[in-house]
Amino acid sequence: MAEILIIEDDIRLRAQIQKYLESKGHGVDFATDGKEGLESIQQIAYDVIVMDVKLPVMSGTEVLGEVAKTLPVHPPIIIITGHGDKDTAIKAVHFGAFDFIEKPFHPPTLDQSIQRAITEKKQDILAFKAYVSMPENKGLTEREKEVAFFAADGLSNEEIAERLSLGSETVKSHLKKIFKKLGVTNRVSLLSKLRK
Amino acid sequence: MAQDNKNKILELERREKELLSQLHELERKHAEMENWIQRLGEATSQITAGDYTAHLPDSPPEKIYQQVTSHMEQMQAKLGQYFSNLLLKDRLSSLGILASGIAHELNTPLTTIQFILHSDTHLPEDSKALLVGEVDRMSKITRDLLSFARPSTEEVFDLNKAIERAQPLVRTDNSRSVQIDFMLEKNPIHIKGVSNQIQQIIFNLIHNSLDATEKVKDARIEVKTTIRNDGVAILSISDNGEGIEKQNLQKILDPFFTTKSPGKGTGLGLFVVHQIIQKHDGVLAIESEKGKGTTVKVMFLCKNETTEKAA
Repeated sequence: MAEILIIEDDIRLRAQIQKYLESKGHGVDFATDGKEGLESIQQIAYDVIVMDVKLPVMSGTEVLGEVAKTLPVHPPIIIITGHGDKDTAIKAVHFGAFDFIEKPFHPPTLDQSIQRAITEKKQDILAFKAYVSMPENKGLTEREKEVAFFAADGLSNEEIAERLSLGSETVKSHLKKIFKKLGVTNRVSLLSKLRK
Repeated sequence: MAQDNKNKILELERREKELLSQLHELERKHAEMENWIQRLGEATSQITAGDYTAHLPDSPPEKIYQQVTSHMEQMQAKLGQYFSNLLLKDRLSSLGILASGIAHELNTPLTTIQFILHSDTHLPEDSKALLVGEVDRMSKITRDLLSFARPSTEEVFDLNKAIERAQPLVRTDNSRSVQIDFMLEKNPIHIKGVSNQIQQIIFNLIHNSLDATEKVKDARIEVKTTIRNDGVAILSISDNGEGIEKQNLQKILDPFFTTKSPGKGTGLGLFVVHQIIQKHDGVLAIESEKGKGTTVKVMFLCKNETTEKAA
């Protein structure tokens, strides 16, 4: 169905959203802070972004500002927020967010918003895909380079996780993004690509 | 001659006695005065230290000082009231910050639970529905708690405009299409405060009226604004609903007190209304008769230039 990026620092909620969206047939990646999220938005052609407002390193509103500044077009961004930030959320929509959903919400609310985003922002999604496919707009982040380096060395996800003190889920998510950026589908083709 | 001298001496002795007694009386008055001033000093130093209940000495030695004490008593009462208001506001605002902080933190785990319940396949359907309902109930509580603690800026605004702005929200809430009559004062009613919070009051009160008229055939709600001659703005919301039991009237402003069914009311609606009104130095009055209906009146000090000039 759609490729979705979740930017949410609460691991429990993030895991549940991921599970739910995957059960709906979507492909799901995640980022746990604003900066990592921004880098993924800038370099990978996602169909929809789901982002919390309160995030470490960079807030959701800051991410929106950077997205507007650095990208000529971007996929629809759905903001999820605690009630207290309702005013922030309304501002976020002014900054170019597609929709905002207040926590706590029922899962179908998110799914419906994603469906609407895919239909209403079809042009943006396609235009962004074309933009990201241009070679000068691709590049691995520092973290991704590290993960790619260890992966090329033949380390397993668990081993990479231990080396970089990350969760193995996070390593998996990084690898998925690396595959997407380099246009490969598995470790073997990643190895041959990196050796070139 | 001797008799003459003797009379003079007697006269002088009498004068001396008289003067002595006058002196004595003056000394006594002086001591009394000193004692009174000392007690006054003690009381004022207590007041300075923040004890506004300090007792000012009564029955001053001279009538003229009665005025001093009575004026001081008035000052003392005003100061006491001012500071206790300040203290209350301070306590309320830190309480608000705490409550909204907790509510905000609960929103994420509550969302997680909704997702878990949604994907669960082991629970029997009725237990699942019950759990989803209970999580919804918790969500309502966090929503209500957050509504009055949102960061806000004070401004002078028109009460009538705030009512207009609350209307879309009220319309969504009015699912039974109950007739709501708005009888608004023709002139703008300028009051000082946070417009969003006043909209919250209007929404909460109309919401209560909608709930109260649920079982009434010809349900009617009336929203009225007026300016009294003395510059007090009155917002009144009346309904012909089920009314409030007499013994509950004292409890309805307590947090979490509700007579609505568990899934429906959180017992925070009127509590929030009352908190907001107090924050705005306003007054809340509720008149209700079981089976006949309820009128809630909210009074604010008007900042209208026209009424101030007229007054």
